[in-house]
Amino acid sequence: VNATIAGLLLVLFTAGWLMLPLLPALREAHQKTDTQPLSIIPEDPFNPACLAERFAERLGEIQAQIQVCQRQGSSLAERFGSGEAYCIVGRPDELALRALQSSGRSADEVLILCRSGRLPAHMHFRSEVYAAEALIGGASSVFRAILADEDLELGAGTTVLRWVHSRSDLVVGRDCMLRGRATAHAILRLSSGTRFERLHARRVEFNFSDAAESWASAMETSGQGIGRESPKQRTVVRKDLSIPAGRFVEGDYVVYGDLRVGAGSHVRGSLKSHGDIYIEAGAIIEGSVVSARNLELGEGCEVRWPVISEGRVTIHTGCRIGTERHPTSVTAPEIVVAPGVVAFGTVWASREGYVA
Amino acid sequence: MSSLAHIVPGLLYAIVALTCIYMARHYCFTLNRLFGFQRHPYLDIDTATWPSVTVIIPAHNEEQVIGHALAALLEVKYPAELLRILPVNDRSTDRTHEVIDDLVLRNPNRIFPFHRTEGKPGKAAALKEAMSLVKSEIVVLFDADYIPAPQLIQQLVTPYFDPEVGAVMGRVVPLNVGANLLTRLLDLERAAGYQVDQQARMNLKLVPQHGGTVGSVRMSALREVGGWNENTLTEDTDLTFRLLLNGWKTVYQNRAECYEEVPETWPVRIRQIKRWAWGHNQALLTHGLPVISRRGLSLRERVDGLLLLGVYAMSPITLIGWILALVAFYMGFTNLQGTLGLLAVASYAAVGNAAAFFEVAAASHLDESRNRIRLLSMNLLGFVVSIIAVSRATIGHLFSLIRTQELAWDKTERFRRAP
Repeated sequence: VNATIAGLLLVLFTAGWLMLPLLPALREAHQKTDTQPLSIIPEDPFNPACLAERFAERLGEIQAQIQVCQRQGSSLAERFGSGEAYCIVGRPDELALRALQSSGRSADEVLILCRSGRLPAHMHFRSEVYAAEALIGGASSVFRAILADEDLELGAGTTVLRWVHSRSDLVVGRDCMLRGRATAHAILRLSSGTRFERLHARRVEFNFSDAAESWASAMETSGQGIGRESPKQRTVVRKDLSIPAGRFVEGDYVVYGDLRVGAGSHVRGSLKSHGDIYIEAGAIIEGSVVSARNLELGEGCEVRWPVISEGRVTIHTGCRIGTERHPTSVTAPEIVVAPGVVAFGTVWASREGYVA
Repeated sequence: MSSLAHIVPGLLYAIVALTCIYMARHYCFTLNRLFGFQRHPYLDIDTATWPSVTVIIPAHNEEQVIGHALAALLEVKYPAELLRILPVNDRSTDRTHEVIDDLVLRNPNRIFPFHRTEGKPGKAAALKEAMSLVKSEIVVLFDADYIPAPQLIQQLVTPYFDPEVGAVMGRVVPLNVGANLLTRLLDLERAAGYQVDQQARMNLKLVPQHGGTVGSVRMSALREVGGWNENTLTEDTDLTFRLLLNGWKTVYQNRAECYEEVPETWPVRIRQIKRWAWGHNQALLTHGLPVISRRGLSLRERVDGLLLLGVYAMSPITLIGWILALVAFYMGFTNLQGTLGLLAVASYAAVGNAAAFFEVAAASHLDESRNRIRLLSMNLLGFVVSIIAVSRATIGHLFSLIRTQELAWDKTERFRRAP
């Protein structure tokens, strides 16, 4: 009898031991707790200003109050339905802003400015700032996020932690740090020493001078027609390739080694290299440029389609990426841009971008 | 008897070596996804002059689902003037024709249907005929039961700015997860396949596989490699390797996600996996040697390509291994004894058997889906069913080669009901 019981116990114990890893599974199969399909609709990845738009939607909740303060020039401190505090400043004159400054150089509530104004320097805005008209930020300030319906200027040494968007022009002073998105509906102008991640505007200017402006205007006329729909001949080169200076080349090139395009060359097609790409001064690429490593655009180069690199992109003075009619993207982990460069569309450095 | 004593352990060790290679591959992929550098070179292209695109949806008796797919495609965020939706009604005998025509009437100049009434059966044959109607350079492919996310078309198009890219594959996400245990297990399996395997291949510059749906292809690349192969059951695997062998890359976009309906009954699942196994093994026979010998492929592409081609062949090989292990043990052929033998068996039991499950767990972790991971151990059931079904398909394929039997297309049954 003992042997039978012992045998049964052994079988039961073994069965129980084997069942142990199945217990969570049996429980989940019986009491379903996670049966919804995975969500596949993230925030719109193709809309760089989507965070600003979402904030603008939140402001819709208090639109009536904003309009009253705007009309009467009065101020109001209240809370959103979610409980978050906001402050509407009807007339951001020196007095009101000094009061803000004296409150400890930091503002915790969402700040809504109804009229044009200049913010004090060395402030820390822990919540979003909205300007219904033009706004000039003080130097060395820290913003969580800013939305301006008109022109927006950030003072030197400003840090933006999440996003900044102007529905008109955005001018960024020297040595700023733009984390997240910096977008403008029209022109986005960056000064030297600025670090950035994601930039988007109809026209992005990097430390632009008048001389570069006139040079770029002259180039504008050459940016015509891209034969997108006509498939071009593709050439695969299994070693390094160097296109001599001043040549006209048609077709796509895939190069397994390094690629060098000589000065003043004109390529009507896209270029891909598994190694480094160096495009010498004045070359025009009517296509995209893709590098698995580093990519360098010499002075005055012009690229019409996306510039993509898995390493570092260095863009020298006077380069133009995209055109007014055909905006495009520059994407790489690291992007270094020299003064006098214009990009139409997006410049996105997933690690860090820097304006020299 | 003595020759058997040499052959059996020899074969057994060869199978063990193969199994260990696949085990290492599983771990390599999973660890890469968990701790390695993640490659998404085309993800950040949000502004460009977008090309015109044709979306092809092959549909054979899809009255229950085709309406949903077309409605979702009409809502995608892509310039309408650049998007041509081309449902291919492939010899349907149900209401597929009417459902499509009804949507065409309600959405003028958006949907351009192709009603195919005769010709060779099968998706590849239907695609081949539909290609004559394509005017754009980029073609996006969907199955009729798929529901794309709004940004999907753009995400499947951005990699084509790279002139080396011939095809792009997106991620498939099961929609009917909660239907029953099978769908939940398939959800885990799909997550591992895409979230871990495909993205790891992309990270490591290996051979991401085109799945024939939620994918796109460059027409010039397709023409260069000879168009769709209608003599295969998995035109997607076949395309992946023909592109690879001709210097084109297939790219995986993990964020290009699309809902699909997974089989809700075991017989349907078994038929589906048998078709995949049959077609995949066809690709192994066709492309195995060229992958080894063709100039221009990197070593890592050759190794991964071969392992990818051999995935379904591993099921019967594993079964044979089990049988050989029993024979070797009971006939006393094996000399795997002592501490070393014990360590080898124990470490494989501890680590090797868990390799595929580790992938599933990692995928669940990356998807931040906390509770479904509890079903992990039940995947053993799916594994056993798959290994038997795939082995039967492989043996059937071998017999068909001897008898030069014509391949039969088997459409996956749908479970969703028409609205």
